[in-house]
Amino acid sequence: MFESETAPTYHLETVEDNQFVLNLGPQHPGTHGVLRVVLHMDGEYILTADPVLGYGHRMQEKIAETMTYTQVLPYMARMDYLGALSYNQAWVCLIEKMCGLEVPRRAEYIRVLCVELNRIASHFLWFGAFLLDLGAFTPFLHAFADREKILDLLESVTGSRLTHCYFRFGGVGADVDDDFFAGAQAFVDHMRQHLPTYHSLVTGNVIFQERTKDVGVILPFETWGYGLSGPVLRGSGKQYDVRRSEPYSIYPELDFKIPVEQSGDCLARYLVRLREIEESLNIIEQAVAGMPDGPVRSKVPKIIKPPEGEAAMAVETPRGELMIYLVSDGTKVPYRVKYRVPSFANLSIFSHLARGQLLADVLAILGSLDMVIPEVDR
Amino acid sequence: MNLIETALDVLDIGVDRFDYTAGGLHAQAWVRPEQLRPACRALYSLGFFLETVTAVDLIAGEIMQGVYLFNHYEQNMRCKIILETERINPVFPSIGAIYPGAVWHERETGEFFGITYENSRDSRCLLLPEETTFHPLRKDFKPQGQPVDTP
Amino acid sequence: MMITEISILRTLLTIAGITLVVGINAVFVVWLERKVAGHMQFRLGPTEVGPFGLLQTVADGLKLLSKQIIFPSSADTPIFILAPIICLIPVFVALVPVPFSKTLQAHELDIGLLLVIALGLLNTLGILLAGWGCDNKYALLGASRAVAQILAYKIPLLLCILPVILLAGTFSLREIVVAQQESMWFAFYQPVAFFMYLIAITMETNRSPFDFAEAESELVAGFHTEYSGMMFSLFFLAEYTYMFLASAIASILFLGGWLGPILPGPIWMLLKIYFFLFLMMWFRWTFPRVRVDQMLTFGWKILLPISLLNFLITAGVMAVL
Repeated sequence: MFESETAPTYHLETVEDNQFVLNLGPQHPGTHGVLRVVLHMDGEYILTADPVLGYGHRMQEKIAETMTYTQVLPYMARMDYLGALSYNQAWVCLIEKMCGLEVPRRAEYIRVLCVELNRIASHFLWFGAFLLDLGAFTPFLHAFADREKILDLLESVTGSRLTHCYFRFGGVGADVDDDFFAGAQAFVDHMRQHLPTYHSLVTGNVIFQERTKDVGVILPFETWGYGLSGPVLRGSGKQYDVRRSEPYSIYPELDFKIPVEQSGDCLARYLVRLREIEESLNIIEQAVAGMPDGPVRSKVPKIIKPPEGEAAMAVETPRGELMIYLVSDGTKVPYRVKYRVPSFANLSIFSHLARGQLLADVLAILGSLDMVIPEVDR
Repeated sequence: MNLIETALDVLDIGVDRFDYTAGGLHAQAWVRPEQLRPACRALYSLGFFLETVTAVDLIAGEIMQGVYLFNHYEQNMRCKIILETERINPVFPSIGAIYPGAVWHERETGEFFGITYENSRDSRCLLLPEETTFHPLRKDFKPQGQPVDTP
Repeated sequence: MMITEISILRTLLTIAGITLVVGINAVFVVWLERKVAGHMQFRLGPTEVGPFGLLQTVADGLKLLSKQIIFPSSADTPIFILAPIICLIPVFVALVPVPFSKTLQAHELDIGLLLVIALGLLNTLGILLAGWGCDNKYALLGASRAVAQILAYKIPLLLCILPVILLAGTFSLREIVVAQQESMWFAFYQPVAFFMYLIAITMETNRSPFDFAEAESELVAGFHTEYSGMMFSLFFLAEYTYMFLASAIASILFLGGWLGPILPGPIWMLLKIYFFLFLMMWFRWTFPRVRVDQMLTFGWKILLPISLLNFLITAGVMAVL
């Protein structure tokens, strides 16, 4: 089905009459960072959309090859700064898997608690930014007011508000106190009361429904060709969540659902994310209730030297499946690290979705994909 | 017989099973360049999604290894397809026509390792600037210590 | 009319008065907009400059005045300069026939309403010139949107005004208010027209949810992308004055202008105007933006038939009575 597609031509010389080229970005309020999209347009309609990446490229994979395993850890948060703790978790779980390190149960609980808080914070930012793309300003600040509470909580534990580096091989950096649990529980109670406001302000709005329904539809059979994951995938009726399909940490013991919507449009992706916030609240509540006592860090060797071989570790970040593929040659420096980032795969379907759409819809689609550009560019 | 073996059996490609809990991989299969596209087509028809296309530069053995990782939405089944060629001017067949998402992965891997993907419908640089002549992930690449002009 | 000393004095007073109204209104409305937005978003809005932050807009205005105006090298400079002026001058002139009480009016005109409508159309010309003159694709897209939507709201807008003219039997803004003195406010006779008119003026003044000409997340800043400093603020002055004008016409046509108990006429008039302005701000800070084609569909397929039907029914009833 895809083999008949001809090579796209994006060069200025090929512009025909009645068409023009619009450079969307890299400094455009709708592209959320330094993404540039070269649009060929006929009036308001998009003929082709070609994302140009690399404005935030830092060659993270080469950096990882020049550093020890411990030194790589802080770099994880610099890729997806909104889901920093998920990246932390992927790296430490991968090394623990390769070296066979034990993790105390309390540490696992703290990790899951922090990661889910981080997930909610990321979804809040997405919620605000998406509505901003649609031209509504107020929901943005409502979401940020609530996100602020999470950032304060995480700051008290990890010491940073955005680029957290809190997890360590064999545990977490420091134990948490009861204030943190009380704060997390209070946040859950607050959000249970406040989430209906989000729905009444946005979800039921006629204009919002008109803008998102049947816009940017991803059909279920298109999903695996592009390797989609996360809410973008689950909006198209595929129930795939790494937390369930490849259980890691304590997720098998927790009771939560994987929200799925069938329609595959922007509205479906929106609803999936909002319901994920609710599920994350459930997880936080369970993690606080079931928090065991004990140490938060096991004894690990000073110098991490995984055995020769290869390993892959996947986690569910707020944006989808992050998979790290590591080839080790038995030294203290990784031989090859490949980050399979969710935004990269999710953004690759964008030019397919944008074809033939209106400019306003294209920005709605771009917003609904929820990409973090430094993660795409690495 | 698991799903990967089902897919690759007709193509007469051997599959090695792995211990999933130790390495996160279920199986791997070594293919010859001409077998890659049929293998991917078989995986695509069974609903395997593309996780990533990448490469490993094995400088000791003068080998460039192409690595393709697939997984499945319904059942957890990570499989690795490996393809090997010599390090100098490596050429792999493109699977962008089967997995449209692979085009970006191939562009990225191509510019990082200096790999040419044959019959790719788009072979421009993706993350590096257009006129880049070096391939940073090759093991013999040494950072030059001077910033390169970016456009 | 002979040019006498009195008429010259009256003209000068008119210019001074309108400039004062426009200036004070802009200062106040920008402040109000920020306060309303702030309180809708758990914020306070401006608090620092002056009492309740009232002088914040003055400070902003001074800043904008002192900023350099950047002319894009490929801009069509005469058009580039002309555009904000063409946006602003018509709304100044359109304020002339607007009565703030039975006696407080710059100039009484038999066809005051027609003048206001005609001058209101020039606003779009200003936007088109701005979009074309600065040689920017985003600006051009914004301008073309503004032109594309003009008929979609102007015709329903006129069809909402016509029933009122039938009821009042005059085009004079003062007489329309006087006509409401004897009966009820026309909003009660014409609720449908009133409601449609509200939607249409939101479109006319380029306010959210119909602000595609300057859609921030899509077109960066739309038709005024390339404008900076004082020229940028002229567009804003024009927009807020235009909102003021549209609200004044709305209150004259439907809510009885200066009519009201106890308080003096001008106060009532201003209260009604700011009620409409507050409504527009409320729309802006709670709704997402409509898509261009959705707005055109809405204008042509919903607003137009309903307002036409409403007009025909009114005309029929009037003929029978």
